[in-house]
Amino acid sequence: MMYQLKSLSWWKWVCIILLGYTLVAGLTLPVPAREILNETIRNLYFHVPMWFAMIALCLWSFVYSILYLGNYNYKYDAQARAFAEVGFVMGIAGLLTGMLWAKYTWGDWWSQDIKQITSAITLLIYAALFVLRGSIEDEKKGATISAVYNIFAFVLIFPLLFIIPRLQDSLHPGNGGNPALGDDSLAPMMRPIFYPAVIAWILLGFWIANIKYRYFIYKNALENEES
Amino acid sequence: MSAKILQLLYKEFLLEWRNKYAINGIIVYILATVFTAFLCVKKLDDRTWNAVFWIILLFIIINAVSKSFLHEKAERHYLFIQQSHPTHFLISKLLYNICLTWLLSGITFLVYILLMPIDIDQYIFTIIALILGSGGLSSIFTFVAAIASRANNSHTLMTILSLPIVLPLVLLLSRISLSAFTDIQLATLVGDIIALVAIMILVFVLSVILFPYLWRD
Repeated sequence: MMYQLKSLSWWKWVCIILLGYTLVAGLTLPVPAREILNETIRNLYFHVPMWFAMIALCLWSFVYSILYLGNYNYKYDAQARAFAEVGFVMGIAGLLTGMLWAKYTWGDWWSQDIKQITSAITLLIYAALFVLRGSIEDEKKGATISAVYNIFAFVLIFPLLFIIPRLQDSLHPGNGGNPALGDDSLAPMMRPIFYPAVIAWILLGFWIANIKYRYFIYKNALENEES
Repeated sequence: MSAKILQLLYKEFLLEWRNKYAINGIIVYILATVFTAFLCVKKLDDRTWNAVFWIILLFIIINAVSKSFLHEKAERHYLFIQQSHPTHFLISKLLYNICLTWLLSGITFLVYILLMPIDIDQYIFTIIALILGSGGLSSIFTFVAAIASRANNSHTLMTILSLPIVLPLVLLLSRISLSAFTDIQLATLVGDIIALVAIMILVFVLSVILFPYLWRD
């Protein structure tokens, strides 16, 4: 056990420390008093970083899908697959924390907010990617076709998440005249917790995806041995 | 290059002309769905009229486009891939499907407004939504049909893979066509129209780049 702890790489220690800090400081330190939001503003340390983590993981998966089409190395495919799956889980976590937040500030679990709708569509696209992957038995053919779909879907998600919400009214900050992150709305006292929280959640996602990646590699090696 | 594409395009039209049952089938499909909608609801307010119209059109376009790759036999496909460049092949399919869906969405709109008359204040929005909408939808469906045809269980996959991707497009389209019932100025919707055109160009470029990889075995 001790050996295993020592052998953790440095960024995993950073992840553990920052995540612990986020949990403790995020739930105990004082937050600015805002009407309606009140104490729910602490969800900023969880909900927003989860979406950031999803975007980071999906971006990684997208890059590895492109690399895979370059030279058909199965390791790149395993990366793309593992990171897409963990990104999907992070997206679900982001959606659920968002719904919880919406219940106590906007009054309903689901308010037909444009960002809620677009993020649900994004998750549906990734679910479709996994169905596609599962439906093809040939390993190499499946890898190629899902890499193509992954690239196609990812490029179409960007207008979805960043352009369309800005064209319509939204309850989220940053849309329809509401203030966004980066200006006064992110109070200075929240920044020392928010930025480490973003790093912590992204690192956690990479950690889990890395384990998943190694699982795919071992599974592939095992199958090659058997055949 | 363009001569090759025209040749392939000519082949598509010729095949369609020879197998008239396919296009006739889709026209009957249009009549049947619109008539069913008419029998179920008869009188509609603006918003519902718009929603029902886009749902009907969405499924008509899926049906019309999905056959473009799904019904090709594997051997014949290999012949085309060997004889012509995959990009030319894809572009001819895209152009053909866009022409086909323009025709079909025109027919659908005429039948729909005939059976369920409604006052449209500004036809310009309806026309923009129909032209840009059916073009965008059919180009996305064409590429997804190519993906689905390479995977087994094709017909179910086609719907699962394409519907989430086209939802943002449908969102924009129904907004534009809903504006036809108001006295809104064209200038206020320029943002939506630009977004729609941008998505279409994106889909076109992506399809051309990615298609050759789908066919490399």
